[in-house]
Amino acid sequence: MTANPNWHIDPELLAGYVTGGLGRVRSASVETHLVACASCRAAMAPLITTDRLDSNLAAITERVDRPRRHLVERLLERVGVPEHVTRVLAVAPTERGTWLAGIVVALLVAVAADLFSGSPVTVFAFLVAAPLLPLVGVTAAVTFRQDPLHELVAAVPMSALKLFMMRALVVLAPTIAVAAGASMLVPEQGWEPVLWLLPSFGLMAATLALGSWFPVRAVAWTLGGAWVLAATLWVRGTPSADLVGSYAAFRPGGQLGWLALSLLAGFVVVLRRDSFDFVDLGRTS
Amino acid sequence: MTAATTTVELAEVTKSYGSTRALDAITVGFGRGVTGVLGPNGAGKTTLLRIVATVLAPDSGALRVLGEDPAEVRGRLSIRRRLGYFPQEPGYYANLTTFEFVDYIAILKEMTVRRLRHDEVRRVLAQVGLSDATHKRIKALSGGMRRRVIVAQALLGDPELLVLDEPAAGLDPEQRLRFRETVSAVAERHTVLLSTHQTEDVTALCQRVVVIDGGRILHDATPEALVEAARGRVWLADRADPAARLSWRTGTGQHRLIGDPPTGATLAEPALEDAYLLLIGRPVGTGSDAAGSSRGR
Repeated sequence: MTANPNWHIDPELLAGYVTGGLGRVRSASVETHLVACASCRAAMAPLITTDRLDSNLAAITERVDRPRRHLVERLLERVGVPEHVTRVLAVAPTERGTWLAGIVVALLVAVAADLFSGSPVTVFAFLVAAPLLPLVGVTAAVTFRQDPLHELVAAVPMSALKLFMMRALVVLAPTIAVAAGASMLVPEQGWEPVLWLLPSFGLMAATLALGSWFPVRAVAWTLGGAWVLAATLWVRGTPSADLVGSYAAFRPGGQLGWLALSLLAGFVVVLRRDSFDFVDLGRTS
Repeated sequence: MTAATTTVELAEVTKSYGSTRALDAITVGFGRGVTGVLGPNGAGKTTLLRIVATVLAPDSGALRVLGEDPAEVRGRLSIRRRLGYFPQEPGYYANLTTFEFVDYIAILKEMTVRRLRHDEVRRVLAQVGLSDATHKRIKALSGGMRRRVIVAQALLGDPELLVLDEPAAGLDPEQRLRFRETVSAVAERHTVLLSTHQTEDVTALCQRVVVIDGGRILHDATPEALVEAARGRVWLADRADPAARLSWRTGTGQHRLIGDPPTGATLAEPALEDAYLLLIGRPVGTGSDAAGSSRGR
């Protein structure tokens, strides 16, 4: 404990310090003295307005209360995504870990199959299975019942479709990133590792569009099942060397078809956005 | 109640789940203050509240909430902007802190300016007495505290209409008292619809009580009027009477009997619970019929 210094700041100087009217150097020397001198601190106290104390306290409280933010959240904010959007993305309950792991495994299988000149059946199987993973993720994102807050969220003003889309984005963005990464790992294969992307978009968009009339989950099972069934029938009647190259869904025309389906279904979803609203809990639970 | 103060109006509203009729042509209006909705499990309370909260569409009938039609997209949006809702089975994101959770709901309620939103989150958390639990994760909170978190999110934005579906279930007496304080403060200016099994909540809090059973309204009046309806039909006797509609042995050893006068019994001062039992014909909280348990769930 240091004793009070035997000199004190004159009132005018102290008032200047409180209002921020002194320069940086003089403020610093006043501060050094204040730290050591209790009587000057006491003289300063009544000069500070409660407004200023309140705003300081509010700033500190805000700093303490502010939710912890993930790295991705901060990065998204840095590139201009509004804070309230990144928060929703961060909180979205989409079982991220599970499907992301699934996609990574599937892509690794594909890459391995390509690198070791594995059988075309493996590559084909990967291309057929890959679209199912984001389909599952998106279905989970838009199925109210999987969200523990489904009933609370049903009563908020934010449109259900907007929330669905934000959540779907959480599933899709990493999927595309991983797929792009995989296709870069095997450049000599050209577009082959990403041939599943457009079918995937098509299946997801069609699921959402039909989901505006029928239960989303049933639609996802039906479309996903049809996709797998068609591929299985194709495998049974085709020499393995032609599996990928000749399959209509993966040929340029087929890819364009998937693109068209995605756009058309997207249009239907926008037109029928209000049907995603009322949740008939009695029917589903 | 005058038309000018009616904020929620239902006319001939019907809702069925399969062959089970949860609401049977209900016509009722609600206004400022707390209206208690009382009834056994499966009576249709939750269905009624879900319809008012715009999360369930009725099969038929006319509905106006805060002057808007919830069947229209614009009307629904306008209602939801002025609504606070406590669902019967609220879910949680257990890993979020209290603050993060309420903040998330605030975003969904279109509060996009961070600083103002955070101020509002702090305000509602203080209102339910959770200022000290702001940074606790929801999974670390007691059941009563979790329910207060849900009450807090319902208060966001000072809504004109609060729809609370059994919010006080599982609260201890002190939490219950605080809950009553919070709700009655809101009800001075706004409409509160509160469903409950607890007749004490109705006595303590409600200016009006609507008793429903089997999807129909059995009684709609002040709690005092409901109690008066039981006057002269509640008795105390030294032994049970098999002829009484309902009877039970009280803590003092005497039997409380409801119904026609039994021999050797003395008239007792009726309580709201007696009146309710007389109306329903069975104890509070028991199902109305076999199908009842699947309704309103």
